[in-house]
Amino acid sequence: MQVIMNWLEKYVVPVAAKIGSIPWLVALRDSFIATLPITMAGSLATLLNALLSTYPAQWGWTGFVNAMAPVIAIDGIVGTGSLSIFAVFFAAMWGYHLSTAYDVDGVAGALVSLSAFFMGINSNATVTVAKNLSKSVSKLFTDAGATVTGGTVTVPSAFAIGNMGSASLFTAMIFGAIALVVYIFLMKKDISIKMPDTVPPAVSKAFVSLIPGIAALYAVAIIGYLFSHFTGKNFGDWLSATIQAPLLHAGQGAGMVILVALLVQIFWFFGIHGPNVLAPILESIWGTSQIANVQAFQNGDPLPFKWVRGSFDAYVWFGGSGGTIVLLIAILLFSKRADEKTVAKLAFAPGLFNINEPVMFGLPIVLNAIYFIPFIVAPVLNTAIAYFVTMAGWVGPVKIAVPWITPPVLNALMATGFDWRAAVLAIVNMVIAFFIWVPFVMASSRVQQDTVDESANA
Amino acid sequence: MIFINAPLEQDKMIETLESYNENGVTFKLEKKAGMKLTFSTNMEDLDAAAKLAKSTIKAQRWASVLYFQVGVEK
Repeated sequence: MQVIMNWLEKYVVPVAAKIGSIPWLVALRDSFIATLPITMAGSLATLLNALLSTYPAQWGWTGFVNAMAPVIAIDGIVGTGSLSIFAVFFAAMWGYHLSTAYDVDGVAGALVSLSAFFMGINSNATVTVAKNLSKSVSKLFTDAGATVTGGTVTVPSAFAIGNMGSASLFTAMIFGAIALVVYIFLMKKDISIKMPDTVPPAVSKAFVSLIPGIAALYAVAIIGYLFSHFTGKNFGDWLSATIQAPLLHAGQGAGMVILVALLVQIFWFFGIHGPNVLAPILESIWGTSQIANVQAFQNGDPLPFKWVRGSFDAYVWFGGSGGTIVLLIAILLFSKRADEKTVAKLAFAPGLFNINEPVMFGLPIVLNAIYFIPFIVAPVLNTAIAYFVTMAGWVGPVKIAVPWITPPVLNALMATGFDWRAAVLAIVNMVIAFFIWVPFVMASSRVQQDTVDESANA
Repeated sequence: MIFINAPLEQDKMIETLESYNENGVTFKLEKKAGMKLTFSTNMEDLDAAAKLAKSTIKAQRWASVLYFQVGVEK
């Protein structure tokens, strides 16, 4: 084991630490984390509307739905102001965190990134109103400045809300990145207007970022203009279709999903914070897919993705990474070791809320050769099962963002908008994981018994 | 006493804490057993000492991705 540890310290930890400390990746991760209040507010609104409107309407409870109309309307306002325009919040956070990572003014960085985002997305709102519009109706629109093609009306200088959601996340990332490179570079080079000390700090600070901010935004505008001029396409639309869509699609492949589940477990076992290292991938691909699903559910549209970030929490990481809540149950039922039973009793309550640090270090699981196999195999198998069941359509995809501390089973139930089959899948996965853990719990008891016997005979 | 459970980079953690010297606070390695490191400290509030130890280690570039536990020895 020491050889492995030395090898890890020499080759893996420095690489992981390097990845984990690249300002761009750290900023990306922190930007997603910072938007948590927005995603949770939007998800809560979606969840409430599902309970107060979508499902009751399906059951024919029209009176109940009508009575709940004010609450449903308020939920709609929350949803529109949060998840529907998620990319706007992300753009601001991206600018803030990347700027502060390079020790330059974060507030100005947030504004630069936000402005760059709006330059990136299509500023013509297109609405299809009918198959074909009559000449008189078309004239009304064209007189008002709109363009009419068949039954589609294009309104200039109007940002469509559909361009501000998860579909434009990569536009926010890339346009923000271009602007921030220029902004941070010029700030670092100290190319700014210095005000005398007598000027109030707030004014002085704004002037410091004046030249870098203007240069950054002109750089983005020029790039966007040139792209549009030579290709006839909007850069943001092109990014969404050419980069974001294929990347998110790749995240729906079994290989990628199972590989991530495997890597997370291996990292944890050796004392490396797996989700932390992999956060830029987890959040960019499956986090974005999840927001797209929540948005689609909110709008009553078909869900675009089947496997999203919350799928791991719902079906695999029950009790924390490794699905350790079932290990605790296995220990309480089958272990003959007093020390393991004590840890299991202490760790059970936090485990219900998916906090498993007491188990990871208390048993321990970290670096414990006996528990290596189940710790790796159970989550990977659970991921594979949940993935194929979800892909087969036997369980509805995750469509609501649920806090990670939500207890197992309830998490799956809530995340899928109360799909009872999701709860069954979570339970089945827990049972499977339980049977994988049990022989190793018994082996652990036997190892200790053998050690005690040897000591007694010595 | 406070303890750190850490499978990786133990030597760097010991060096970081033993060389810590701010506001008169000191940490000294007392015992090393497997992945458990036990430190004595001159801080009276041991919970605060554990928090300080964790944040001091976490602030190191090499520790940003490490998973370790810091607590008060009972």
